[in-house]
Amino acid sequence: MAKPRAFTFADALLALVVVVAALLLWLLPSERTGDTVVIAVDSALYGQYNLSIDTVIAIDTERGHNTVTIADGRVWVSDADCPDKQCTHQRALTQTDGGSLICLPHRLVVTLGHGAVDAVSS
Amino acid sequence: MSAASKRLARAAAYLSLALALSYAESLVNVSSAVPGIKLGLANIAVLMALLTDGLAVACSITVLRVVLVSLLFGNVASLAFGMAGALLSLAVMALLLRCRVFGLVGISMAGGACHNLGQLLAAALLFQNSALLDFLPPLLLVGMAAGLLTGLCCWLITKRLNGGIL
Repeated sequence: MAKPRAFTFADALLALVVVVAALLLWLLPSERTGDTVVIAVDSALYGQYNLSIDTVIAIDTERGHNTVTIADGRVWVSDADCPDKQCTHQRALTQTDGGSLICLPHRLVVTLGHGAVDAVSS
Repeated sequence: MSAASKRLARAAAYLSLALALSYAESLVNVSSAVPGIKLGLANIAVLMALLTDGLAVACSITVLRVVLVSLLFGNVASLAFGMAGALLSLAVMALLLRCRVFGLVGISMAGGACHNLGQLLAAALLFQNSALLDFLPPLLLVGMAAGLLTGLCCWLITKRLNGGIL
């Protein structure tokens, strides 16, 4: 059996490079800020909604169900029928912070952007 | 026991161990702000397999584990992402092991980071959506932290076993 050491100088160097790269990427301002909520399912645009209009969007696809809520200038996934409901724990997006909400099993991606609102929710 | 039987017995033990560790992990529901955060305890079994039996055995164990875990107690919809992450992680760990300058903890940390990287890249490609890459920095750091833990476990195990398994 090969018996490598526990921790070497090369390990420390590699770890340092990855940590610095990750922190630099993290500090870059998100391009995904704006006043329009963009919802995509399975690489196709599902709909765009105005971040300043409170609404609840039910998304039902063959993969499953998600509920996206827009209220007080924030957007988050309020419900999902997947087993782990991981997406409902993700931090709400606001116009200035930006970012993304993602449900991997249902292939749902919610981001913010600028632009005309095509599909205005009821 | 012949060498081949020993090899087979070891591979079976590693796979069972990987499944048991994945199951234990699925019981602890880690809710977090970032998708895909896991401890990756099964990586202990995979890295041990890589050390004692080489890439072919470790690769079979990885593929079987990902498929079985997603069928038994996971999410079949996420299977493709988990597989991409697990295979990239294994490839990088095998490469670093071969370099001979990296230690177990470093190899495991790289494996953890690459698991998350592979998973996220697969999703970004499949969804055709670069928004997923927003999650890359936290996932890289968390993957490294998890790899640090599993790498230390592996090192302790190799020390105790003192080169002799079966």
